[in-house]
Amino acid sequence: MIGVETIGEGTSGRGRKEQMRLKVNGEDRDFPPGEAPENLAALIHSLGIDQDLVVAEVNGDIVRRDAGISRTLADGDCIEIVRLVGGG
Amino acid sequence: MREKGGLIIAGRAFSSRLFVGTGKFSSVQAMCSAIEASGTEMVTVALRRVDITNPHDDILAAIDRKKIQLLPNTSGARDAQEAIRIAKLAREVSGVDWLKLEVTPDPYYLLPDPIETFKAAEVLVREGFIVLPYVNADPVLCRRLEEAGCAAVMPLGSPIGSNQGLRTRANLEIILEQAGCPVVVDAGLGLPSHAADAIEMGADAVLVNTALAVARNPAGMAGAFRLAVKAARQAVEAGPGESRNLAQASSPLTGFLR
Repeated sequence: MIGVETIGEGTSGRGRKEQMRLKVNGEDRDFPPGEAPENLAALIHSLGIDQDLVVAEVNGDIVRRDAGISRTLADGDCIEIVRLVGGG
Repeated sequence: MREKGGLIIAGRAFSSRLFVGTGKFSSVQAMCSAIEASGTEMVTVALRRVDITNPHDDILAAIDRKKIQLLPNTSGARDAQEAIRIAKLAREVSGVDWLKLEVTPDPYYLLPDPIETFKAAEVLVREGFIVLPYVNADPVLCRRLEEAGCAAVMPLGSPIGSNQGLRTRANLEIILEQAGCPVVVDAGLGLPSHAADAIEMGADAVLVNTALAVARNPAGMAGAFRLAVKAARQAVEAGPGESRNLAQASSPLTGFLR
């Protein structure tokens, strides 16, 4: 549970030297100081996902692909990365 | 408008009246073969979280989007708000504003929630989506959705994946009599005869997934549905005779050897 207390306290994502916790598709992911993704694109890349195939929400807001996936992330952000799959 | 000749939905012409769902196939290859054999020009897809442990397979690469219209669905939505959220994500990731709106809070029969579906349809039509709502075979609801600006209505024949055929026949007949927009019979069609039945009743198209995906030979079954839908439509255009209770002799009633 280390780090939970810091969620939402506004480290604001700019301090990449600080550790960061993100909730990605429902799972907490901790990034040690210096390893936090610079932005959403970097996070998606680091997960081995082709960013052309996905769309993401950060804290419930869609990040439009044309608006740039370069959206910065902050400690405590909740990210959903979705894509199309087979379905009726 | 419902056309006498070809099928047109939201300005797009479809030469095939068989729409295909892409779920539940055992492999991408099986799905591709079935799509090819079906001759379909519209396929549904769903939106889900990326599986971070296995992010690689890509359904879009398997679908020729020059020939085939993608119809993302809102499966998994339990209310209007969730459906609208999924719709917006689907539009962003697919680049198309076509949408199969489905809101199915009931996990046993997967029956669509008419109230939430209608609420979502009103919002999504306003936001520029081409909305094709999946609904129970309710003639009044279908009219209301048409009036709200939906491009087509998609009443169910029987519960999703149940392969029971047209259990909602009486209400489908009323919908088909009244609708001004295309009617796509969706869900529950398990056999080519079920699909032919719907088309012969006057449905503009049918949507089939499970019947193909669970067949021993999905491409073979897709080909069978293709033929059935084509035959049924050809029959409709040929103008079938009326059904009647009393026999009417086919052979001449004169010149008997008596």
